[in-house]
Amino acid sequence: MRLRTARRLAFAFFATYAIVQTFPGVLPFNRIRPLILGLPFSFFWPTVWVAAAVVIFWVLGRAEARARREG
Amino acid sequence: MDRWQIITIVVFGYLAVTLLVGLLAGRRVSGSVTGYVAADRHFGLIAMYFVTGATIFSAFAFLGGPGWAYSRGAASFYILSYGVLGIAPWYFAGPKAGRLGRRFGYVTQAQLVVGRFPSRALSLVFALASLAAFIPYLMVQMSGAGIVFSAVTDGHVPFWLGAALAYAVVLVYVLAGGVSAVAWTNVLQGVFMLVVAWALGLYIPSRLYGGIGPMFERIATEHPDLLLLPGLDASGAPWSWGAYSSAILASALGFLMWPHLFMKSYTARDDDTLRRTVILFPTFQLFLIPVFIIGFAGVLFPDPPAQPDAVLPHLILNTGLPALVVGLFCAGALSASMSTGDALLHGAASITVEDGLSPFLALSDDTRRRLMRVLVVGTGALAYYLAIIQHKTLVWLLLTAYGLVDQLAPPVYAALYWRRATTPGVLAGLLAGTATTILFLLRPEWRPFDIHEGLLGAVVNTATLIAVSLSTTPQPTSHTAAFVGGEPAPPPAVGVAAETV
Repeated sequence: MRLRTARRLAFAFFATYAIVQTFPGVLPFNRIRPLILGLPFSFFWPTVWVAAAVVIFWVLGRAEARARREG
Repeated sequence: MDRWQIITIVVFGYLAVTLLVGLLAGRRVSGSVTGYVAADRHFGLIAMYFVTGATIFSAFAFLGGPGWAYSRGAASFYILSYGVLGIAPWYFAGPKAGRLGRRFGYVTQAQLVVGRFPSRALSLVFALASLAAFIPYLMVQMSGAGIVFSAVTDGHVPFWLGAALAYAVVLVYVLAGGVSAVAWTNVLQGVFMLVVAWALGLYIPSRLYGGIGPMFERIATEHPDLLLLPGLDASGAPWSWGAYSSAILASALGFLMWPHLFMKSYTARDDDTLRRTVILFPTFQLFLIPVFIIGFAGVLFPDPPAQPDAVLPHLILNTGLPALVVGLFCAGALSASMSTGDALLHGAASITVEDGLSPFLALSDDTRRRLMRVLVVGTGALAYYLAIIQHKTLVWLLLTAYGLVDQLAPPVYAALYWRRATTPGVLAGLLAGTATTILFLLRPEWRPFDIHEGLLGAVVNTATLIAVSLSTTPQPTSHTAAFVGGEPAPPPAVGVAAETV
């Protein structure tokens, strides 16, 4: 992925992250069931975004490294 | 041998190993200020990963996290949400700060800001704000160590002695090895925290309730209010959405601005190491999951702990775990406390000397390093004294600390990203923002929608910064280029000569 695209993706991801973890964006996900991996949905929701951040950061890191290699 | 004696022996063994690691690590860096504060800018990925993770997750996360989940339920999820959001800007700002540090010799956050906005007053305000935020944070860590010691030894090691023992060890290795000792002990402490938290987080629910799923099923039936956002407040009434949402945003904004954390930008070997640290950080953040699970395990436990913050030690002592495991848990909790406390002690001393004294007095490298060591002892003693005499007003103090740290964000981002920002603008913003924060802290009922006072302060701070900057003379492009980008410029003066730039 090109560096510009990767950076835009990361920015969009974190903007969305802030919206869906705070009021009112979090409301549709504020529920106990279904339990996922034993966790209530309201607990699983922030967890899955933290895990997704690892993937986004990793994509960004790869794009960054490639951009530098190609000068 | 009594159970508490075995536990104490395990803990002493752990403290001895920590001390040894700290002393050995300190022998590997140069005797200069850069060596003491920024480890000769030599940290690789493993060191940076654990330094960052262990520094961030303190006794507050290890004891306060389960305490919040136990007493306030879903309100605790805000702690899980803000970390990743808070560290994301470091991916861009960290390498930039690191490059400027290598180029101009910066070792603190204020030096970077003052390099861009030359003003000794600004340097002093930064140093004072950092210290005001550090002391209560350090008190929390020392109290954490004291609570753990007195809980698991049935009071045979009292609160004051436990805190003193743990911090005597910290003091010795910080004095001897500076940031390098802080780092290598954090590697050990970080591993301990991760292993202990995950092991207990999976073991306790399965031992008490037959697994994590069955446990939450029962809580969902008996206390469903605990599992829905925004959770409960300290008195057990529903928390407000404004407070929950702004707690995430205010903490995310202030997160990187903790000076002891921001300063770690200067310790990395290169940009890539810093970026990879940020990439891997969310994996450390997931450590909060077992921590919260342990707190929820306390909800259904028939016999309640003396106070919410003691829920973790309480469960561990009452689930029939062998003394060795209890000792290891104790070591994990002490790790969380000490790995943050050491960075705070070291940071407080470095900042006082570099930002509070150096701009006003001409001090040699040798004198500065010696002064830092004196201040490590002084700050430690002051925080210890305060922690012993009054650990009840901590929550109030810690809230003040977060509000103050938020106010450092606009100056730092303006220094790195906004060409048109000026010195009067930054100073005016900082003062207006701090005043706003303190006003709403003293008058919480005036806060619109229960929004965190640090966030309200940051809004006023940013608006003032922009308004005053636009109405004052812009800085020359030759000066801003080095910070914001563009053509390279000669290094701006730091220290005594700064006022004349």
